[in-house]
Amino acid sequence: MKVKFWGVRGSLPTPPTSEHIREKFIKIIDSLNPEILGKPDQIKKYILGLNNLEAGIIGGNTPCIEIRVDNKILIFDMGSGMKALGNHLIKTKQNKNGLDLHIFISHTHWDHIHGFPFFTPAFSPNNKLTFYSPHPNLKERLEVQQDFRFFPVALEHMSAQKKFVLLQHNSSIELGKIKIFNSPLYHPGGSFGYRIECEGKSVVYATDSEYKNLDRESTKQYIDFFCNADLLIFDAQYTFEEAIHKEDWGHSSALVGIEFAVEAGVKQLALFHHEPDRNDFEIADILKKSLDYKKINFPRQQLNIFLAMEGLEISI
Amino acid sequence: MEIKQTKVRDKVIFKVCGRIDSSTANIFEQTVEQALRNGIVNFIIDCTDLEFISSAGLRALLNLTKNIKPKNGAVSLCNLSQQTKAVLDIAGILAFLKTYDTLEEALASD
Repeated sequence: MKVKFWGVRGSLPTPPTSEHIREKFIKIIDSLNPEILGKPDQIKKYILGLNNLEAGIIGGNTPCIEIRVDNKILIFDMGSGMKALGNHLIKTKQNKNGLDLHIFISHTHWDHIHGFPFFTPAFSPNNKLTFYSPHPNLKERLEVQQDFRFFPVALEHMSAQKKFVLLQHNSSIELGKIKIFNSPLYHPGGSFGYRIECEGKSVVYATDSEYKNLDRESTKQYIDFFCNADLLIFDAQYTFEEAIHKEDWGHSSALVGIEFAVEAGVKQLALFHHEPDRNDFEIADILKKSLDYKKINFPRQQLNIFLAMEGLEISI
Repeated sequence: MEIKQTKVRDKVIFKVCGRIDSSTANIFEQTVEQALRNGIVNFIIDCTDLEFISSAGLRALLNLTKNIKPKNGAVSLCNLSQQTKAVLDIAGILAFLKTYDTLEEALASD
């Protein structure tokens, strides 16, 4: 199973500011070994060896995740990251057959659907798109988004073959060897998490969710849903303190994610749906604090915690 | 988890022994809520024997500070271990809480 992050930002696409890019340049220059100054090849090698946090960006596009498993392409949410995914799919298509894409929607807030009108594969009649969501009237919701008042191309003029599958709450469907479960999450208007299982491997995508009651009884349903996942992609938009003050805004924190992951025996935790008001250094600080928290409260637990970053690909 | 209560003048010391986590935070909440109903508004949480605090415990602490505000009361924490202090700091709530190194200091505070 391969998981690739195409959009990791919450709420609103967030391009880096010039000021922030300059800050990164300065940090890179500060970190250069004086011995390689004046040696362009060595400087280039050094910069290419830096990670996205140091010399790139965590990512400003809103949620979109690609999972390749059992020769199928699954897409989770249609945030602005979907545009780059669409271009990539067209560019790397290996045969003349159309694409057969399975698209799962957590909910239809803007940041989870506004990439779709820019999704190039949706404009070819050879391609087949199957949309899955427990939200009723998904087709109508997308039509409204592409009403002429808001976008020049109507959904019906996107010529790919489209099928809409309404999922029952807390149900599962099978696509070949893959089994996909859904579970309701607490978010204004409702959101749904998905658990993808195939041949003993599992990934849980659980974003846009608030956990107000943290007692064992209230959290059991989530722990069960996350149980023993190889990867949990978790809404960590807020700090713990922000999540309390922004009650009913529908998001969570890394601290809660760590506790759930530990309790559920999760192997890897991806902090996801980054706050648009935070720059990369501030998001990196959330990761640092998360690692500290895990070290203090759960020193013996095996759990890899990392930031979901645009372009990051993980093999499960 | 066990909570021992001791009244000293107008303040009540809640000595927490053990863990405040998803299984026990509700006991802590029920205890302090009952105290609030009994008219107690000045709380000292003695953390000498607090072994572990999770987000459920942090939330319970914040709720107590929130509930005490309209009553013009106060919540003080004392004898925090380095770990507990670090957890409160990581959670971003250390700045909202009154903390003291010792119980005596907490009792002497206004």
